[in-house]
Amino acid sequence: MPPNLTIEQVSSLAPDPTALRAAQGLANERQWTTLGRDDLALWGECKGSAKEPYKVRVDLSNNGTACSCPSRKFPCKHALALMLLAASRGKISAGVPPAWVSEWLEKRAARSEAAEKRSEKKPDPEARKKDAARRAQKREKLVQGGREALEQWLKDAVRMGLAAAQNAPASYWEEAAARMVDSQLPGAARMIREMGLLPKAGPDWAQKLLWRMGRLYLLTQAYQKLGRLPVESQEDVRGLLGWNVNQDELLQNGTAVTDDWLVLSSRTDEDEKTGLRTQVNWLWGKDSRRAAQILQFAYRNQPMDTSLAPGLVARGEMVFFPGAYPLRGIFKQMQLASPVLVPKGFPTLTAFLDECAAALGKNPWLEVFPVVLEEVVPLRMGEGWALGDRESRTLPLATEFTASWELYALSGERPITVFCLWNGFALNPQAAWDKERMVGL
Amino acid sequence: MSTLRALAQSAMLGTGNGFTPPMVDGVSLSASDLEGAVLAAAAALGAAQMGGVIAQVVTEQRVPCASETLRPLPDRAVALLKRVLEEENAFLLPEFLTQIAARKMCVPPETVPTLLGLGKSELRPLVVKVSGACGRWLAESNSSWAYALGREAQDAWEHGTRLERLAALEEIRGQDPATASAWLEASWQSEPPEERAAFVRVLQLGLSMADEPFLEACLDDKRKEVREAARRLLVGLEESRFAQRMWERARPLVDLKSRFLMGDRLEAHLPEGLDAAAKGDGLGGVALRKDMGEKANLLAQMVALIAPSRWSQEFNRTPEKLLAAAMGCEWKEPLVLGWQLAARAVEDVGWAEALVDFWIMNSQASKILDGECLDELILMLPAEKMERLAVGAIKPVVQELDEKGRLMAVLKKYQRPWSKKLALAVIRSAQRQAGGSGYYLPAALPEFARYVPIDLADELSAGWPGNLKGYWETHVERFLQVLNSRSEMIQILAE
Repeated sequence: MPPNLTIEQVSSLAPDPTALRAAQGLANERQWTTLGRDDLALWGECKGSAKEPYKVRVDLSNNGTACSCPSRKFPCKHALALMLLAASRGKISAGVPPAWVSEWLEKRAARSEAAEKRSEKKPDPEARKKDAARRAQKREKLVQGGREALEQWLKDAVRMGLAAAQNAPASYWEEAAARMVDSQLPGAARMIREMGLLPKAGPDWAQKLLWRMGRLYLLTQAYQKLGRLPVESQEDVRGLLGWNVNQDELLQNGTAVTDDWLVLSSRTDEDEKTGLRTQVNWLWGKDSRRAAQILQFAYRNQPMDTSLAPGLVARGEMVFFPGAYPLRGIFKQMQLASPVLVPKGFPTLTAFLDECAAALGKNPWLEVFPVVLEEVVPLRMGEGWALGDRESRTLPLATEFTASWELYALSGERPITVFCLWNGFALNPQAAWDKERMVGL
Repeated sequence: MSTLRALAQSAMLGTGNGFTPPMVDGVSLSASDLEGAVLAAAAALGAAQMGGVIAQVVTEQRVPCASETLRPLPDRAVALLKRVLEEENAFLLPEFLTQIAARKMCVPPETVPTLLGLGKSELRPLVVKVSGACGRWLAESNSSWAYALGREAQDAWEHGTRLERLAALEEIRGQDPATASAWLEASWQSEPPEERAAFVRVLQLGLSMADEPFLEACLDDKRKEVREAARRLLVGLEESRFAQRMWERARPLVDLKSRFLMGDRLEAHLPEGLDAAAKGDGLGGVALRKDMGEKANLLAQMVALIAPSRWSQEFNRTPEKLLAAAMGCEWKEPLVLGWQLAARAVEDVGWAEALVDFWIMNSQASKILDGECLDELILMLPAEKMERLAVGAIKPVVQELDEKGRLMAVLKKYQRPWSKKLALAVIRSAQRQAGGSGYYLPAALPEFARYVPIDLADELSAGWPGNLKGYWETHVERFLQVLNSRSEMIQILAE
């Protein structure tokens, strides 16, 4: 049985705030003539402005919905209200679905099976191979040109000096990034855009910017002698520059790590220009004691899968994208559950820093290092904050981390478990545990 | 200085621009490809720096938080509290905190900093209660939260911040008025002048003739705010020298003529000039109303500084009768305005009721009465009065609640819990009008939903027509949402 919906999850499914507000008014048994649920679905009939009540259905396996109302919003306020009712525990009792529900579920199942079959059907493998080879060749040519332009741009920047880069207009970075996109190097484009934000982002900007330039330069050099690198590093270089990994092949051929993966944090950012929303989820393996990153994408109004809610456990097989220090993963299969679980991580800061150094040795392009720290205490250090471990060693908290007082209150100056992202300068806490209760930060 | 930082400092000036290599170990830059060498060195130094971080040893005395004795909130209540703190339904907060405090529960620690930092001072006693041990502990390390320290009143009065001292004085005044007066008088000379007025206002609690000498002395304070605060309190002490003086000035100016079969009429004369004593008592100065003459203003000022009940006793008439009698008077404006201001100063509920009735019934009233002061009088009305007003004015179908009427205006200003009868009368009338041409009525519904009794939630959610559209639909939805949030809150606290 899928875990209970949470109100936060339902809220994130709403197409706009108006729909959510309307749904909150309807999330009330009095507005419904029938209500029911089983392991697979929710259903109910909601009084509306039409003569007949609206028939509302929710498929619990993926939160798909249907409603007989004329609304063009999706999901509509009735479907949201039904989910809100389910999220407030005990408001819907179990029952046997009526025909208009079970038939709908069967149709949905049939459709997704058909879709699976379609994706299994493949054109002549020989022709596909040839096609792919031709495309790869074309891209290779574009990329070589882009790589040379990138190397030159970086050297020009150094020749000009960081002070000049600090004062460069936004177009300086934008144009360079656009050239990388044209050369099919979207990864390099992203890195250049991020560099452009640094000169305005705090006192250490110069060394951070130079470091990033250095890393990107290293990438251009590595790509030039790609064939001489270990296979895993080749994957790192290609992935960073912007080659996509074929996920179907990855799922078929990759080795899976079976574990209980605790969802620690989930953030969604929207790129205002393209409308692309990227959801970054960090998970932690209970037995493997390692982090995994799951990325999901959606354009502007498309619904985003929000099933990986912080605090839930995804029990199943994770396949990691190839690399010298794999972090990004994809689920081969999993089932969500909600057991109580405080993750085990690193017992001391020194142990974590050793692991981080080893990881950098394998992949010098690592930008963030995710870590669960056990028994640390948030401490005030003058104006700033730090985490101290059982050996009285400390690392500073990031200045952009705004919930320091909350974290401090949570600990009460007693050791707690904290999940952080480390960027080489400071820790950025994402979640912490008050005894067994996980608190997002 | 780290080597990466040194390299970055050198690289501020470009290699084509007067670059000098940094003088640190571990960096040697080949001159043949200087730019490439700088970039490669940056990559290596950055990785070395990130991989080579050493966590420094810091020893500090830790003072952990005491363990909590209050019950924690249930999980779903925690989730709701966080939504209330983040989202637009912040209106739930006062009711929510009251309910948590009444159940002797405490909020989870991660919400305490936000609660302690709330600007609203009227929530502070509640915040202190629901923050429990965590709140007291946090207040130790952040002086802006010192009000949550939970110090003994005397300690707080002697060593606390301004707000702590005010709260301490209030606390002691509530228990033992004489001690509070003694504290205040002992420290009076050393109190900063700009803070004295707030301390004087605390004396309203448990006010008695024992405070009279101190307040009389305050009339000579250098600060206008202090003099005003003292006057306002002295108005309520009928036996005070101040009240006597004011009464002796005003009484000869007003007389009640009782005429057989023609009702009462008040007659008033305007005061002639001011002596030094009258000026010392706060008369003269800024006019209360620009559209009244100087002497009329003077009369209004005098009446505003006399407890209105004194007139009712003197003439043996109810406030209603006196208001009616005043309307026949040439100087009705200064009399009525004066009573209104005085009723607010001494918080006379009987007069407040009469004045609100007067405003509802009398078309001339809004020209005479002060609007801001009226809003405060409305807030003083007892729940039963509101109930009588609504039940009297609404006759199902025959005479519905008029959305542009005075009763509606009073209802909107009355931001206090409603009685059951009031809620049923008003909301049922709205339901009968729902879908019609209304504008102000639907718009007020979400606000009304905050004040109706929560055990009526079911009854008030039922009875709305099913086919509402547009303006009515959105506001009724919002009404239902507010009701739902409130009853959900009560429900999950009970889990």
